[in-house]
Amino acid sequence: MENLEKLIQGCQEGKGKAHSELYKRFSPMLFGVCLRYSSDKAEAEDTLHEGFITIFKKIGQYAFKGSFEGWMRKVVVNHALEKYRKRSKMTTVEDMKVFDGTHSTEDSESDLNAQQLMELINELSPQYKLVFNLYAIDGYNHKEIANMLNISEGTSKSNLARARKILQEKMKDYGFIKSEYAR
Amino acid sequence: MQDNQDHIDKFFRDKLNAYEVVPPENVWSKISGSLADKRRKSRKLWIIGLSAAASLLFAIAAGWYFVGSDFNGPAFSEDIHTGFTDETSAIIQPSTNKTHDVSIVIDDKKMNNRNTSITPEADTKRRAKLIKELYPNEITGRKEMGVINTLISKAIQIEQATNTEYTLLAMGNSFLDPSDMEILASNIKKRDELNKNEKRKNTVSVGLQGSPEYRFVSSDTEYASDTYPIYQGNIKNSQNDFNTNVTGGITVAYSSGSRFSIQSGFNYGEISQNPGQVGISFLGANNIYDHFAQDDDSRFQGPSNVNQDNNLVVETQMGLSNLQMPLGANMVSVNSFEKNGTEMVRNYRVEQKAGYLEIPLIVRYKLIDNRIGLHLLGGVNTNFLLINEVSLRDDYEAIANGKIEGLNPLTFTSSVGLGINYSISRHFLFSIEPTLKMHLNSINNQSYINVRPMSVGLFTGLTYQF
Repeated sequence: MENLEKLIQGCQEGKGKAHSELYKRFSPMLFGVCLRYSSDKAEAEDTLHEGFITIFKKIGQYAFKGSFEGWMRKVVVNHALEKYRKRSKMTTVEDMKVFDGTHSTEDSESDLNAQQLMELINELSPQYKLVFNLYAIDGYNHKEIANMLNISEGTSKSNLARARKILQEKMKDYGFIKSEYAR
Repeated sequence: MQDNQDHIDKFFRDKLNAYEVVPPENVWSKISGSLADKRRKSRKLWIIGLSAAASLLFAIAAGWYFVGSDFNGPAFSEDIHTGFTDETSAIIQPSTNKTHDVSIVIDDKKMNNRNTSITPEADTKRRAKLIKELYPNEITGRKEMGVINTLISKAIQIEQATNTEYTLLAMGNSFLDPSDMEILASNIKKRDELNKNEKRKNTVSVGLQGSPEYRFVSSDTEYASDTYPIYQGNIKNSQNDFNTNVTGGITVAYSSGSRFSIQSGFNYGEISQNPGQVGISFLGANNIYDHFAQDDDSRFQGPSNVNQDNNLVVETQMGLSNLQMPLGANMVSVNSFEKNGTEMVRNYRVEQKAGYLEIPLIVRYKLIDNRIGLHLLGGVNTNFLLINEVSLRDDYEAIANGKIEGLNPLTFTSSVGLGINYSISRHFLFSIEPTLKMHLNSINNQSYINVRPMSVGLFTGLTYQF
């Protein structure tokens, strides 16, 4: 923790070494977030790039209250949503292909499951995927989601329900489902 | 169902919340690149900010100084100095080339005579455009705005007075920093190059030129008297026997814009000689000897190819001339009237002249292409014989006339020289060209005569360039 404080201070002072150290430490986690929200790998890389620029720019505003990681995730998610808003005005984006990034954990079974779960999420339509990510994984409530996506709370709730149902069916199809989820 | 739904959420959350993937290398490269750009920009802003603050302080100090020292009027009006000359810099020249992005100082004293007054607030659009022309990439606040305003007002003044659109060029004053002086120096160079290039485009010029020509012959000259000694008379085979005559004419030249130009036109020049005097007596007998005497009394029989009638064969540098004498005229020694004491014996002189129309074809190459320039010239001239006269005369009358036998109607000369020229103005050029001309063929087509004179001249010319 003390190490992290020093690192943040270094970034606030604009030290290049601190910047690169911070990136090294947190980029795998944040890239995972980007991959969840983006429509393809290139977009995920863009989101990560823009996210870090904003993080380094606004790091001076971080007052060492609350989770630094949580703060960074929020920045990255916001950038991802910005891209979604732009994208949704255009034609449908291709489904995200299976990414070929390096995995940092060593547990192959959980990696495999994580990868497959990512695939499942990416098979959702964009709005369902977003709502599911925001609610189920990143912990936003429906009011916050409604504001962020410019939809009503009701739509947010129904999108979430729909997303869950689809994921459930897909998990059954792929044989992931355990008896307790089958109900 | 609710538990089920929450379980799905939890299941995905547990697996994916801590999900990490190392991003590709290029992402960090892009991020660090963006960060470096931001650092550069913020440094620049610091410098600009400091400069603006320093300028403001300086302007305040300068304003205080000038007000304190009874200075009337704006602080930087006519007192602006370029740093390159001591004269007031006026900054305006008619817009000719819109691709100039910056700025040249020129000095134009004429600007000081204009006194149209305008209000500085007038024509703010034009003002903004002029500022942009002055400083296309800079923040205008960096310079003392007073100076800019004064100069822009001047530009607008002159535009209104002359109804011509002008491009406001950069200004020079002693308050410019070294980097601006460098820009000005380089732009003056650019402007001069541009003017030179504009001058160099397809140009036609006409002019007048003339020169005295000092003529002489080379040592390999062959005279008639070399083959026929009978003709050796008072002709001194020296190089001083030609008269120095003036050649002059009209030039027409064309330049495609390179350092080369080609010139033609036409000149008129004479080759003449006064070979000497002869004494003529009108008292005399019917027999006239073909004889040409000057200081001695020697007489001889002429050769068989010389006409025995009343004629006189004269040799000049250019060939032989057969002069028909008046009846009764008898050749005697020069000045013999003194001996004879009679008015019927007089001295007459032989005068010879050949006049040519010369059509030159000269190529010039500019060695130095400035206001004062240096060039080389070389070419060939075609000469057409127009006049061929020999006469025996005194101050009152010519008693015999003839011509040089065998003068070539067409001769060629080569020219080579060096020239100095001075651009009096954009259109007028003055030049001085020391030139050597050499005959390429003999001026006389008689087989026993080979005379190829040479001449040196100092050709002075004035040309007008369109």
